[in-house]
Amino acid sequence: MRLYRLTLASIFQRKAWAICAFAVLVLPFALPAISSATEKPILVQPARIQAAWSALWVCAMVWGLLTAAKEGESNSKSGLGEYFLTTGLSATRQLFEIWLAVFTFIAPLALITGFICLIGAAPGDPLERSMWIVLNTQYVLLFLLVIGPLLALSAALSSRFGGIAGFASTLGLTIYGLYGVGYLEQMLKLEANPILQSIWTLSPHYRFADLTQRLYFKTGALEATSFQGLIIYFLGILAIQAAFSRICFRTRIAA
Amino acid sequence: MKIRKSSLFINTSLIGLGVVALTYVSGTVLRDSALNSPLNPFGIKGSPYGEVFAMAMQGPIDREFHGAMNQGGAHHHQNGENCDKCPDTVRKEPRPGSKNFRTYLASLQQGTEERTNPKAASEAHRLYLRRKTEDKLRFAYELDPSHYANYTSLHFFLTEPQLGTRPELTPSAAKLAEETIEYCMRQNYDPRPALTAAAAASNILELMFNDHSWNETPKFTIAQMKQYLGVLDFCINRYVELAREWDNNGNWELLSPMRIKECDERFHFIGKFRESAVGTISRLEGELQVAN
Repeated sequence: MRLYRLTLASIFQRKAWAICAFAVLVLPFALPAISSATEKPILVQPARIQAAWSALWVCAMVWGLLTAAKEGESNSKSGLGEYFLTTGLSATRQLFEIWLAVFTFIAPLALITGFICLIGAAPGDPLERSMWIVLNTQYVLLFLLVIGPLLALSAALSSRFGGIAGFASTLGLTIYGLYGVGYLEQMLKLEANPILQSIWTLSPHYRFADLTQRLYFKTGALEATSFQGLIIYFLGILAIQAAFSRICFRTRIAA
Repeated sequence: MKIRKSSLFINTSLIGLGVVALTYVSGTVLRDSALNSPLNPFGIKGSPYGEVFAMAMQGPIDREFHGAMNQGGAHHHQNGENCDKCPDTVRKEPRPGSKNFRTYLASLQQGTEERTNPKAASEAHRLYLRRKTEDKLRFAYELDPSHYANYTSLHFFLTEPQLGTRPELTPSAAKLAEETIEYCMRQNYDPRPALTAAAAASNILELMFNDHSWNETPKFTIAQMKQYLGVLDFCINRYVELAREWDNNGNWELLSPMRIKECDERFHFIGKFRESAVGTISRLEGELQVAN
């Protein structure tokens, strides 16, 4: 795990993670002060939930994917990947260790967000409260299942095509999966098109992992069957993205 | 070679597994209505942040609205004054280094928005402008459907006649009003949405009166008018009830005096409208009885 420790230490030294930690810890309590919750105190908790999860998504999409891209690129560019290859660390293992180092920063951020929702915005009713705990746990799991493979993909694409290309394409894919598919669906409702319909079906529907509105409107926890379906769905995407990342990942820049 | 073969096997297996898993569940997941939530990036529409952005959009909405009405001309009137009196039309020359930096910035903004094309906008361009404006107004409305000004701006835009001269209760305006009433009636912790709902009910009533005045065979019956008068009364009562609650818990103090004044003015206006609506309905009822 030498590459893991090295990557972890270099991310830690750069200190940009502190901005994400600040955003995830402080914004849920600071942002409601600029929302209409100042006029309607009853809205403080919904505003806090929204700020907490939005801050997490933004941090993961911007800082998380960018850090993964940077690490993937520097591993292949600096000769570090080649060095570790000579020590017997396979390319897949290198990708895994780089991914794990970035994930070590992202996972606690998700857990903190879930925790803030539990302590800072839990409903008073006991039945709603138990559902609240389940829903937050489901949200954290789905979030990690979505963002995890994307971090690996970002690192892998960057090792082959450079940091900017790797970051931009993964960020684009995430935004498309979160919101683009929804707009595509709206277009398809207005006018059916078999080609676009196929693209929509084959697209990664990350929007299912965004449960902010379920929390906001207190819609309740996901049914076990629906949640199970989602887990299998995102595991399927994870398998495909893992294979893709393995294929793309390079330990050195091609001559 | 052995490594390459095993790597190929792993990759193929992963893709195969993924495809099998997706084929197995994607049909169920994509059709599961419980998983479908409205398209709303970061949940901003209808949220406490959306309400703040909706307020902040008042300026751009004003400009867009008049931009579309002026067929592409971007300047906006103040208080319904005509162009000659409107202070925005008095050209302010850019004065770099001016002490009054705000005036300088305003002149720069005016310069970027000024229409210099001597030719009027074409039919197609006008249609495009109207569509863009409607999108913006609808976006502002969706951010906070209970916002009085955003709802009324969109309503006036939708009912503003494009070909004729008379505002009509079009299906889109009626649907907007119904949706607004429904949304506002769910907000039972703030009196202000009740005023927006009352405005929506009064807009429907006004357009029903217009229909009676201009059409020989009116589409709307007196019973329908009375039904909306009932809705209007309900909204007014809800406002009074919630306003009293806010008096008791001191929530009004969280609002600026300007916003409180705004509420009072709107309430006063709706009260006046209600009085005249009752009069109009009884007049129309009387006319119908005489005709029969």
